[in-house]
Amino acid sequence: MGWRFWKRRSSTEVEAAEQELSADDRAQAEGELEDFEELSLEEIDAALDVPAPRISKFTFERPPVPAEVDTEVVRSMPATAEEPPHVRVERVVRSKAAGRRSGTDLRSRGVGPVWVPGLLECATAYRLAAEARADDPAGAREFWSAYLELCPEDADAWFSFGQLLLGERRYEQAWTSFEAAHRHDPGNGLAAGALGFLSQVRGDHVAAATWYATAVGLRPGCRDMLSSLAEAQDAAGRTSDAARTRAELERLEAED
Amino acid sequence: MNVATCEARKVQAMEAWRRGDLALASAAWGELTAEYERHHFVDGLLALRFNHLLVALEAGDRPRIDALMASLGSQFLQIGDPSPLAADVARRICRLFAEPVAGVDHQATAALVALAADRIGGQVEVPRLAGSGAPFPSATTLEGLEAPDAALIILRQAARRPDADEPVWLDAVRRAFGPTQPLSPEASRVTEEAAQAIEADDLLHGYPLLVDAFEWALQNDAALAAEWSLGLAGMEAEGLPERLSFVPSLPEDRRLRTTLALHHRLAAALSTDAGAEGVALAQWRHVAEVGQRWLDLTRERSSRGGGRAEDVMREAEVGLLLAEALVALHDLATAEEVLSASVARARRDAFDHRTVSSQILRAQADVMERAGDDAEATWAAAVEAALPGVDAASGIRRLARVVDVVLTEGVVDRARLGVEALAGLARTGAGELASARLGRARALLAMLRPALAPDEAARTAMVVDLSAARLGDRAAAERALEAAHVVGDRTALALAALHRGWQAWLEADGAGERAAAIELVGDAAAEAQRAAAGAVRRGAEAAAAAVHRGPPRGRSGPGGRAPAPRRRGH
Repeated sequence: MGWRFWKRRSSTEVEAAEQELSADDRAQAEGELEDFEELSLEEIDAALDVPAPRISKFTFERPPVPAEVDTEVVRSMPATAEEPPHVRVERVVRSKAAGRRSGTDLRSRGVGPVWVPGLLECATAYRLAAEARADDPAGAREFWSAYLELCPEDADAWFSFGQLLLGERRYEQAWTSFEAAHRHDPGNGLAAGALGFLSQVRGDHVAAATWYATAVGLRPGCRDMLSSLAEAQDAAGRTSDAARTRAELERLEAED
Repeated sequence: MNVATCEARKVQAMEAWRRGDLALASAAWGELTAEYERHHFVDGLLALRFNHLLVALEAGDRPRIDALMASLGSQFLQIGDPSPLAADVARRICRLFAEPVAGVDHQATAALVALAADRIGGQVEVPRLAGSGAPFPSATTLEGLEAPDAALIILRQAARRPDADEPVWLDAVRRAFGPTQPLSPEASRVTEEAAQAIEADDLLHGYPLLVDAFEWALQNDAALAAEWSLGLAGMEAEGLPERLSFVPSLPEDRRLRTTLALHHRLAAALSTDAGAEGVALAQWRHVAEVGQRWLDLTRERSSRGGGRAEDVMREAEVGLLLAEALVALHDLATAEEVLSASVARARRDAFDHRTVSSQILRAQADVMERAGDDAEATWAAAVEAALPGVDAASGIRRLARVVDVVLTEGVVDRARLGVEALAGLARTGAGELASARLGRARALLAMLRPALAPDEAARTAMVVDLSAARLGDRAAAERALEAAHVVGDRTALALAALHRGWQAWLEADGAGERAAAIELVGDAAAEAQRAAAGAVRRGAEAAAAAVHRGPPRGRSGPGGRAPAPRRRGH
């Protein structure tokens, strides 16, 4: 089939050798190609069993054009005839898309979109800054606000923000934070307990007892919650409930 | 706008762009720009404006092009030491405007290119040459050739500008190998000396020099590397002097490892798009063959008493490439066997660099996950090797401390592996633990991102989001779709589309939602037709068939199995 094995030659020799490839050689190669096309499937399989042709040479120069592409082997199997159907689908899709695009063809320039980092990165930075400012509540408050604007569904963050506000005696804002923490994570007993505490501060002992009861339900073994519940029940005038809660507390202490 | 809305808007912009709805894409980028400006998110703004500029260029929107070029220019003026993302955008701008763009002020583009080039030290890429006009052989023809010959033809074509008629899979090769760099004076000198020595039949000097040049070419001019690889093979076929085996620089060893790296990169690039499956398999077979030859050569050398201290590390590196080739050839048992010696070393932390340990353990976990074995312990070991203590860490401050250590040690790549391993660990479970692990992976990536190249960050984000999508998170599937589009991974794109469609189908309530879900699954099947044939395409076809059969029953896929198959690293 007219293939050449790689041989060490200078670039001049290679070029000379290429020019020496006579018209007869080419005609012979084309004859071989016709013979190949007439072969049966089994004969083609047998022919393909021989090692694949080596088609390159080595010149120590940067290749001017990929001349090797135009070999007998390549010519014998034209690309268009064997194109699988999905490539045609791709082309249709591409040409349809191109129809809507009137400007520069970016593909030919080898340029594509760049990945845009999300705002989670900013949110993470805000949160780290907020947590690092334990001794600067005003600064921390700003960063918590910025963080929670970006991640409003983070129950842990709402709870931490609530704790900060509680420390500053900003009870109304703290209530909103703990409420948000409880809304986004209803299984968090601490948020319910904090709402119970704030209800007590407000003087609403009935609500406090309800919130503490919720917290105890979520954290059954928590003695602090039970004790606060008993106090709230007492304050709300539910002395029998408070007695039962204290009994439960004593039972837990006895178990320990 | 919160994080979730912002992500959804990003996805919408990219989807609109893919569909060709440039007006919607432009509006979404514009809205996001305003939000990012509010947070003074410099890197994010650069990326947004660049993407917006591309959309404006495609739309031929002259006023917007001018405004965006001015914004980008002023941003380049403001930044000092550029972040990896800023440097990447600068390189893309230089490539984009390397030649004048019709309808755009040439002086303005020249000024922007000058500013961008200044940010990257003036290293402007040489524009690719126009296509030669010669017909590019079909994939069937390339399959019939020997792998090195096919590699030469493919890489030569990939070094040129894309032609309208050439196969789409060549774009993946272009992305994998990057632009060709001009021959450096040092490489030129080495090549010249090698040529002279070989002309004088002095292979003892010529061969090692040519191997040096080959190593240079792998990094800078893949087509040249493929050509020199053939030259070296020819010399080896004619017989090398016995004394070459004793040359201290081990030229044969280096030649095999460089060949392995060349064909591995090519095979991986050919493995995502439809149409090149056979060519990719031939390249993978060659990788397996060369890798095995290197292992045999090294064992033979060691048995002669010529073992080197660095052999252990190199065996691990070669083992990784060989295992990946064996996985591509569906020989999981041999892949596990190839890795086994290095896995034992990685488990006892016997490598000089923990990056190698984490790579080996990650590869082992990947093979086990594909084989359907319980890979949880191996993924956990990979996480521990890459980011010690991170799986047990709770709270963002502890994660930040881990990231601080990583950045101080300068092992960002290892940290990236750790994030991907954490996603792998999440895939082995479900429920809150898996969600917590994925949340940790996302937080780590957000902290590491400023130190990562954008494509690496996108690839890692894609792995994390595909893992979340597999656990039923539809928003994550959409984010993965965006990242897969950016990195140009067709298979991941199809997989993300499949997860999105299937999740929509599972969540569909009522005829309208079901119809929309069927359309999304149909999109995924169409996308899968453009991806390389394999498990993802089969999964998409099965899902398309299942949604047309009837409404979903429970949360499982057709036949009680999840429709989306597992894929390497996802």
